[in-house]
Amino acid sequence: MRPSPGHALPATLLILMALACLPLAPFLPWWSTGLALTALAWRGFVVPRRGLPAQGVRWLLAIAVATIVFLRFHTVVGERPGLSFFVMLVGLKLLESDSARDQVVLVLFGYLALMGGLLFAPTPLMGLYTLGFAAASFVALSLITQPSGPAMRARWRLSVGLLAQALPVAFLGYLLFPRIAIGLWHSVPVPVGRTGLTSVLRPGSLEALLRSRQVALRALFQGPKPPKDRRYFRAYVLTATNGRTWRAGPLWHARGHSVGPASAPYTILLNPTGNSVMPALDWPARAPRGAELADGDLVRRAHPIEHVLRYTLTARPIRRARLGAHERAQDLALPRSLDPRIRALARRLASHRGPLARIHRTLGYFVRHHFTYTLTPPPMGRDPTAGFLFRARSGYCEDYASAFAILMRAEGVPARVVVGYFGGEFNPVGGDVIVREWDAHSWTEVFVRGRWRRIDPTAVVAPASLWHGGSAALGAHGAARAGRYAWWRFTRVHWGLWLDAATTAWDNWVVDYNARRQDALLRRLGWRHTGRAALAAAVVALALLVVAIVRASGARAPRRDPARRAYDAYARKLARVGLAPRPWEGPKDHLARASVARPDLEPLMSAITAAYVAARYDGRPEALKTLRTQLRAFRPRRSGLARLTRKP
Amino acid sequence: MSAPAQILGRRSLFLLPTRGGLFFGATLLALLLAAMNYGNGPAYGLTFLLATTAAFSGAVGQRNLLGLGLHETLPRADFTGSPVGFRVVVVNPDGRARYGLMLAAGAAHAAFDLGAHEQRTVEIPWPTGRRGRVAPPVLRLSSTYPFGLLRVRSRKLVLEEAALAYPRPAARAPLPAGQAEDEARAHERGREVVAGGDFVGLAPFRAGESPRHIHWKAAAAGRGLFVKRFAGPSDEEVWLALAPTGDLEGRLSILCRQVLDAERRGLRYGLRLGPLRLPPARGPWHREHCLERLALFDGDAS
Repeated sequence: MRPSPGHALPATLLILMALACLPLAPFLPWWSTGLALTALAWRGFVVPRRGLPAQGVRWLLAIAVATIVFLRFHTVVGERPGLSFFVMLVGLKLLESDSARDQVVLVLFGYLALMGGLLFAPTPLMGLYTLGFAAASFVALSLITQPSGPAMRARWRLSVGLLAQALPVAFLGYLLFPRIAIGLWHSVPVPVGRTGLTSVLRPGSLEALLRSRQVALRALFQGPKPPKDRRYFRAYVLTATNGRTWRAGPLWHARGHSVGPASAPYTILLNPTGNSVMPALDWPARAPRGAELADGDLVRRAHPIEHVLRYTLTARPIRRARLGAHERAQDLALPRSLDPRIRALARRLASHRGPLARIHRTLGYFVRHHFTYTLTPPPMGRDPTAGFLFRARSGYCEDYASAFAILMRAEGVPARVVVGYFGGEFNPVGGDVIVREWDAHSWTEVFVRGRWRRIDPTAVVAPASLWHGGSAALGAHGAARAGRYAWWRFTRVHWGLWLDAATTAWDNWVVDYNARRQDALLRRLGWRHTGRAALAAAVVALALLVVAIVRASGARAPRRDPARRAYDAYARKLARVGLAPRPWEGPKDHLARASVARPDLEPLMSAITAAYVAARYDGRPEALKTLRTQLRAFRPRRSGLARLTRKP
Repeated sequence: MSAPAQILGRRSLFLLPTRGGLFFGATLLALLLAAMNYGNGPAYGLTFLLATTAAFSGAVGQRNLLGLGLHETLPRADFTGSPVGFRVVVVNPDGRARYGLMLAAGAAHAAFDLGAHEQRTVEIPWPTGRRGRVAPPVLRLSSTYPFGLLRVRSRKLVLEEAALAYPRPAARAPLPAGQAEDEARAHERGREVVAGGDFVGLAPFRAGESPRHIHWKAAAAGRGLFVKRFAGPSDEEVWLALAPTGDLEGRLSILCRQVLDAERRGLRYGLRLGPLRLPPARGPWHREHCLERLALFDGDAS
């Protein structure tokens, strides 16, 4: 027994709604997408048998949903609470939708949910997903509004075909639409699942990063790319330490400037971090637009980075500076409880005069005592520096950077720790350098003879570990597998490079296509006046063009049936001898009349008529060929009698 | 029969958004605002792609109607109170099927699809309030194919042929005197004229048969239950005319009922209506002729 209202929604619509909610799943609390998918399953499997839930039940569910969101987030405003609420509302809407109008509204809700997914994850994969979603959405709209229409295959063909035709025009609109940065509402989409660098360094704080394959940034070099051992992307400068933790110290106004020949410009596509630091190679010559060169030669901007950020920089080789008294004091400050053995060691190493010699002696200490690099350092004890220097003698970059900086300070050389990324992997497909989270690194900078110099003690101790990057450090397990599945690794790496190149292009052209880049692109295309008014006019012109295309292609006369066209040609030939079929005459009636009038033409006329009837009404396409050949042979002339009668 | 034909050409089609299309537009606006607020490139892309595809669907919708031929045909008449039907033959001239077509006049509409080379007579039910001519409505052919976002509408199709609303037949009306005498005579002979035909004899009653046909006299006489059987049309003639007094519509209703009853009984009947004389005849054609006269009668000349 079927429940009275027609409760079966098209399966395509149900799948579409699932597709709309799925991309949001990683970014929303599990219970919100979970509830939406449960409602979806209920609508698909239970409702057709049991009917829609009673109105009271739906109200209770709505109140419950609002309560959950409010209890969890204390608000329904903002991306995550708002979208959680919205996704669950979509689920509830599914439980009350019955009419065609409700179903259309569901599809529209699907667009909004998908938009939420795009806000959280503007990736190229998501772009492809969006294309597929759009095609399915139009199929669903077609099923909802034209229930008796064509077969499913035809609907898909139509939908995909229209999308393909629309793509170039939509792309033009995308390029030309004025990119006005409006701030109707401001809120921060939280990049989820990213670890990222932090401005605090303590033992083990980089460990999680070294296991993450996520892409931190991509660098495109306009000139020759610097060799790997010169690619130090600085993110944080840490000056304050208690022997265990390094933090950014108070900010001093930076004095001095970088000098030397500027490198060719390079561009960085930085994935969202949620903070305002823009990693840069040392030493940044000038801050890009919208950012400033902060203390410690760091590039920063005012707002947190919520989307892929693109900026172009140049680097200079030398950073000259004069340290003020406060600054010098800060860069020489030692932890209050410093192990006496460290002081003794520092005194011994500092017996040489010049600061450069002290640096060399200190680095040499690590080498002489066979310090090693490891990702799983032994416990260092209460004073990690002393534990590292005198007991463990193995550790990773943050141990080396921290210990070296403290030693240098104890020897009277101003020193600080820098956190950032090192190296990265060159992608021959995209021509860019991909820097992943596992390229996170820390090193030191020392102030010698009016210049800040970068010293990377890890590179001195264990150059190989750095050279191969974090991926190699992942351990023996990976290495063993690599041998057996070499072809698989090769394929993965190969495809990975392609995918990565696509991602770079996508970030470059889609995610970070803003007003400035729009202007630059249009100028490069030779468009001089790219004010907003001009762009708006261009978009209006484009819209008019779309209307014109629609009018013109919609009014294209339908192609006439080929058999009918052949018959029309036959009729024109007959008209010359005064035997044209009359408008009300069927082909057979005409043949009967014409055969009486011109028995001489009868054989060919009846053959043509028979072929036409076969091709047009019996649906035999091979008859069309006969029809055409006979039509060519058909050359009626006026009969002798007609000629006689016409002569006066 | 007048047959204004309209071939839907490029100038006779108009595009309008449907209600769903307006919602769609509002959603696109929301998407655009979100894209601008977040400066999100893919969101811009989605917005423009949806907008352009929806616009291009208008071309498909137009082609769905283009070239269709609309030919007026005779409307279907009916009694006052029941809807009459205005009818249009819709011709699909080529091998493409056409979907989701709707022929509408105001709220009345008929929905249909057309296969390749198919032609179909489409009827628009139209309510009748008063007897007489029902002026034809203005029709439009439209469709929201393919996505229900845009409606393609044809120019107005002005029909020329009015439909007729016959008088509403009275519930019951005795046939005129001449016929009533015949009936009385039949009674005397033990015959009864009931359902259009001559009495041919009695048959044993079987469960399910109408009690009206039971021969109660025989039953009262204790001879068992028998039903009367009738067969064949009668040659009896009857003249039907308006009653001399009363309100015109009421009298026409009675006359209408008499025409229907006479036809049902297979009588030959003539119609006297004002100066008009329709000689006795029978058959559906004659019946329509009489009803048509009744529908159009306006002078209370009798």
